[in-house]
Amino acid sequence: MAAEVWSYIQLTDGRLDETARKMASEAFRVARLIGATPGAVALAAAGQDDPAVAELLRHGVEQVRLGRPAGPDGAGPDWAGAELAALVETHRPTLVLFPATSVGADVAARVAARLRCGVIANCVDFEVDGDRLVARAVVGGGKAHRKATWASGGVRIATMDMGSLEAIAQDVPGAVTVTPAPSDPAGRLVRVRSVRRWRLPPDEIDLTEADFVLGVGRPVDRERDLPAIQVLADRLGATVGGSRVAVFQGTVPRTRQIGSSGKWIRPTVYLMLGISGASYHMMGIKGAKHIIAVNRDPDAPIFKVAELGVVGDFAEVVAALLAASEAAAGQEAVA
Amino acid sequence: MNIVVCLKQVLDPALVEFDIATSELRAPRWRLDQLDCVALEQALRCRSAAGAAVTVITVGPARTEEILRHGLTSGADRAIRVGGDAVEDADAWVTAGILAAAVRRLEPDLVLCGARSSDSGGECLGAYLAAALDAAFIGRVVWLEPRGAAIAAHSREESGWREELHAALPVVAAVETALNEPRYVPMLSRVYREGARRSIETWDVGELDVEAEALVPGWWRWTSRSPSRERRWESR
Repeated sequence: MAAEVWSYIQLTDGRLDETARKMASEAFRVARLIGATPGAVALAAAGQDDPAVAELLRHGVEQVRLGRPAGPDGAGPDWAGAELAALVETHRPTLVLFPATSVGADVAARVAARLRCGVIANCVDFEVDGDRLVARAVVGGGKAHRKATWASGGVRIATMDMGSLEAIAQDVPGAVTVTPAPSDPAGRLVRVRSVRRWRLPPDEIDLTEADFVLGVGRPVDRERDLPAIQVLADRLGATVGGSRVAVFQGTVPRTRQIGSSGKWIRPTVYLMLGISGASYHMMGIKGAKHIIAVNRDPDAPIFKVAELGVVGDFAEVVAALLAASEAAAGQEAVA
Repeated sequence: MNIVVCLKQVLDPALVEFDIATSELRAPRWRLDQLDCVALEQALRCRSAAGAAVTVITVGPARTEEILRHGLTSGADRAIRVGGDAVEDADAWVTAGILAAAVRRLEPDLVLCGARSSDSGGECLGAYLAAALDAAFIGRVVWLEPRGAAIAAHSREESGWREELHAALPVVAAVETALNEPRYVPMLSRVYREGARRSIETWDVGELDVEAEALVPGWWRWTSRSPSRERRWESR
């Protein structure tokens, strides 16, 4: 049996989570690098012709190993660790990759603790040095990369820095084998019980966790502009933050400051209203995936990094977005 | 209740730089890791709410006594440094093995640590420690409350999701910044002066009952360090 490289794939209600395609592509890339079979492991019930499985195949995965999605009522995070560790023990993959997200890193640590093996965290790349697999990992908060290798000969566990991965569809015609979850082994000791799960509304969650951030700068006035911006943020499901100047002006509270002296954010979308992009602000938004900037000054440094830029008055853009979202809401109501 | 807080000394994350000459990260000073400050604060809050003894512990050379002193002057009752040959260059696995052997002696009900360190950030110590101590593990804690012989905690997930978890003692909890705001203890306060007078105990790894497997010099080795650079796409 050929060696396997696994990526841990998170599924929510049978749908691939945003890290899944990147993780599948990485399994493919690393498997080619070390001459192994790219595989995926997920805690879900899925058939051979499931759309999620097809999507994994499209990103290069040839083996899908499944575990049972949930244990007895309220088994909590212990369950995922125990289930994955059992799968790894059975199939002995060479390398198991987890996304370095808060859930991914937590599961990785639980699996490693059960299997008594090392984890190399925040990896960006791998290379083969003789018969050893060497990982390149981010350390010191991104100040340096460090090369490391696993001392143990068995299973290797790594968490992947999501910023350095890409989702790449493969045109290699292939087939995927789905191995269903094993039937129930002996009962496992579950120490942590899950009582409930809920989601905080966007205006309560911390900026560092927000997926959509709306940042305001100097020209935004607390009385005149903020109410409309807040309405827009509610419609978009965005969390409002501000530059250092916005905090000094009292537009947003200190806990909502974005930048090197405030919060370091990493949302999927960051919409900036009237922020020019001073270097201290830019440090705090390095983790943002898509940046949309609105600024009156066409020479503002933010336009060098923004994916979309509007040179103009932010108030007009806010009004237009509000009108557009109203129209969209109206259409939905008609449909 | 008996609470143990695991502390880590790190290069000041605000000042750390990559030194090309030595290929090492360096900073002009060491400090207590930010998330460990949060863990310490939570232990002190649990003590004033429910009555408990708070012990701070670290694994490392003599310079790490500075962070234990910070723990004592913030109000901790006892401080222990585990030193010895094996602690040099210990990774998360070895550190957890040594800590587990030391912490087991203290028979704690609750062990607190930061969810991840600001330098290597592997997010593994809590889970390793819980496995070695045969205790429950709760990660990414943003709210925590002791309830008799159990702990109730809120755990953080992606994009604002929260999960409430309950576990019977003993529990290892790894904490996040959102849990609390660490206190500032003025130098002239009684707490500070009492803490400054307390002595720091030193335990040697050799005296502890550390599993031989836990002391294998690193489950992995660092082979070299290099400045950040782009990922090598040519390996594709």
